[in-house]
Amino acid sequence: MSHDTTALLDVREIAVDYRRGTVRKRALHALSLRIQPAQAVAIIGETGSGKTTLARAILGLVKLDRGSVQIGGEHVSRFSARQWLQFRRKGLVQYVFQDPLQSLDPELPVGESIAEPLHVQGKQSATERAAAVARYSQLLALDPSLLHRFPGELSGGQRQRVAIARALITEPRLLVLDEPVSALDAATRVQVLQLLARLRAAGTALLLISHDLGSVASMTDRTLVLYRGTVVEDDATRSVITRPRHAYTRLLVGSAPTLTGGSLSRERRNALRAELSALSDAPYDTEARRLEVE
Amino acid sequence: MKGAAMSSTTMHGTAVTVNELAIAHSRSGARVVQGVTFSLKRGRALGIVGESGSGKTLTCRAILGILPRAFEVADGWVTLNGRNIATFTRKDWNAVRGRTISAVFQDPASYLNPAIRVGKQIEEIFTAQQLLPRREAKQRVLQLFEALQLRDPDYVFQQYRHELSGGMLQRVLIAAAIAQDPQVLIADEATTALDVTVQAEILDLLLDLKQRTALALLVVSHDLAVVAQLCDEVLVMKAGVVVEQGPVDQILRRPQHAYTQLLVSEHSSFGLERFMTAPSAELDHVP
Repeated sequence: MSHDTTALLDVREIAVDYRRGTVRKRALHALSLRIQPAQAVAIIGETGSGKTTLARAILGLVKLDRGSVQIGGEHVSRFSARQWLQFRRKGLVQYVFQDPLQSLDPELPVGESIAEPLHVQGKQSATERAAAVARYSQLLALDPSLLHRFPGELSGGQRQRVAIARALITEPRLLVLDEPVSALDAATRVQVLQLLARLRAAGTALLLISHDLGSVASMTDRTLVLYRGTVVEDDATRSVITRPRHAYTRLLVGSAPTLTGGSLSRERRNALRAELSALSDAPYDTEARRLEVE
Repeated sequence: MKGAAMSSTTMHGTAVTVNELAIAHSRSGARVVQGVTFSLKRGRALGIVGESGSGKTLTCRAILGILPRAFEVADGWVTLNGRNIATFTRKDWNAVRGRTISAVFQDPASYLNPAIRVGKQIEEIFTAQQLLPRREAKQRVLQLFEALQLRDPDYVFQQYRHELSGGMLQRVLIAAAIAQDPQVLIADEATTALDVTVQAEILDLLLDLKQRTALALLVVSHDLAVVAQLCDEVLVMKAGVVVEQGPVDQILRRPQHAYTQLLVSEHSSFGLERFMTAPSAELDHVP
């Protein structure tokens, strides 16, 4: 199979299994995904759908059982640990984790956390690094006085912006964000979404992962819906929302709380739930839970 | 359930009245909540919206008589079924909690003992107070689980908390909260940590309870859309004060305060509403 050479990210038919003892559980099933430069793509799925596994697979943090991943034309899924280390240092792809409190070093002032990726690259002087930190903290509306504080002393929204500044400082071409706004208050959420829109306009490709279609829809060109490790919908974001095909996507769109009261009646939602639970023998919640645990 | 048997006067009676409630830090006397006033009737739902730290959870805790130690009611009063809760003794509280007023919170797992099967824990609501003999108590729990649309109630009964998903645990906790047919249920960010589809199921369930049993619902959320879905009236709180209050329709259509306007515009600019209502030409433009 030939890879798309223009794509920034080219994921081909990947499968990931999790093993515990002799039990194998397929977390991702024959998943393909291509992102072009400056494109914004959403991956939507519930707990246990495999969306975080996908992000981890792209970044080489879990082993693929099948398929391949190319980033910027490089076959990263064939990389050795050493090659990965070198590749990550370049900062072509950056990942913003779901919980910045856990991903930022609690004993490092946040200003130093932001500078760290440049420090690791070792290509810039201290003055250049300080200038970059100042530039990116300004871009994320982080007051200079905050930079001397520790992550625990910041609000959730401030921490999220620190994590994004840290990811942006290497000028990545692809930014992967796991639940970028779900934990944020309205005012901060608007700030972060506006920032993502600016980044996208400036040419950074975005991969936004969330359980909530509504939270990231406005930011993306394309949406993939993951359900139990399989892509059940892959289309322009607008089509996914206005003309969802799979029962799960229809339920997802009809479940998103909106100010206008939602697009589906309670009866219709119940019918879709019944349709979905008929797709599987096991009680649906426990099945999802098992996927998550294993 | 009790709803059907209730006379029309109690059906429409006022369950909770909050008047000029102020909550302060016990030591410094600094007020963290000020001037909260509302009343909640049976069969109605009132929402409190605001960001973290706006005082919405403290307001709920004051109504439940469980303010954290560092805080105290500094002014105003709260009545439950016409009785001022300031006069309640420990015995009075024991008599009303669960039976008159009940609550569910954000993280259901933290309210369950990890070492005891979840069904047993809900059964204790009936057996600990000798309300029902054990066998009947179990039957009652299974009925509750079924009413909350937990598939396979027997299976759920036998599970430990780590064996159930967040949506199932929240249903178990709601079962516990409504076990004694309370008149008032406080749901404080009860669906915040759940997947969107599971959240919708829980919201549907709460609406159903409200209609079927004339439950009075007090819904706390940071998400205006959740409140819009469930509530008749809404209070918008910011920094401890109510900045806007009124019928949900009115607040959504004509938000007056800048913060409420932000909440509404956040949805119309970034939410699904944008795709559902905006003409398609505008869809690619992000403000």
